[in-house]
Amino acid sequence: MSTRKLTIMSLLTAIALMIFIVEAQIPPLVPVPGVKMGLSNIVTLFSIFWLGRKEAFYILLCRILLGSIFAGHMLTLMYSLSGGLLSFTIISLFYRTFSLKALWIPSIISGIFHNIGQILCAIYVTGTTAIAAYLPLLIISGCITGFFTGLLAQYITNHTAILNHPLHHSK
Amino acid sequence: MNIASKRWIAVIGIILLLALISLPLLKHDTKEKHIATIMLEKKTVKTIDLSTVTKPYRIRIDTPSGGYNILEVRPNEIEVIEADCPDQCCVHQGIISDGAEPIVCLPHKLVVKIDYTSHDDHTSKQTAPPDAVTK
Repeated sequence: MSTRKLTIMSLLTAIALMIFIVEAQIPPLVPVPGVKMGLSNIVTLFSIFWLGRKEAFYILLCRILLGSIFAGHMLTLMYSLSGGLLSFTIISLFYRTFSLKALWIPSIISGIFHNIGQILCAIYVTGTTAIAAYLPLLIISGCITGFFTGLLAQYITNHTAILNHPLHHSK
Repeated sequence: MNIASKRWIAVIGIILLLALISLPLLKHDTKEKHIATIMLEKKTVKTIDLSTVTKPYRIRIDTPSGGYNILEVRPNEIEVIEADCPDQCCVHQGIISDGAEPIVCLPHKLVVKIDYTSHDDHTSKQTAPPDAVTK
């Protein structure tokens, strides 16, 4: 891992962490547990398609761990981890089928699966399947927030495409 | 736009459609429901038959982590009116009476749901810690 790559990755982690902490300070918009904007998804998405899956995974993991230390409690870690890892797995598995020109598609998919992962975790933590009743609401909110974070990631990739990419190996 | 992208849009469309269809079904239940179950960390701490409630009263649930939720029990309704959790989601969720959606306080691992029957009514009294619920 070159110093340049490491620097870019740490920079992206810092940005993601900052967005995560600022977002945690915003009171919930809708009175449904688990609904949030998921703005740090922008960085994850951007790093998957700009740096690669392995690098994006490290950035995601660092952001979740540090984010839970700075802006939450142990339960935040569990929910973020279950949601983040599930959505990341799905996106990585179907990595090749996504187009760089339509980043909102993987973003919506990851929004949906992030919320499914969180629900599964909440069912495990509270021991009640009744929480699954929130699944439709969370899927809809995941689609909406996923669409907008995807658009943001798209704008960033469009603009960084002008820059000479230091690491991009494939395509 | 390539074929793979179009397939993904179709997948998203189907999931979204299913979510939208099931949404009104969960809001209200056709069957009579009036047993409120309060669960804390996977254990039922209290069940209340809401149809027998005539005067509103409040109960306080203390969590093992040192937090609390205050619930108001009313005829056929239940609501969390105060809590010291960081996100206050349980308070903002308001009153529940029927429907499948429970009140959830994720930081306190508290769930308040409404059931048809009180199948675990007598077991709850044994599993409930004596100092967990104070009237």
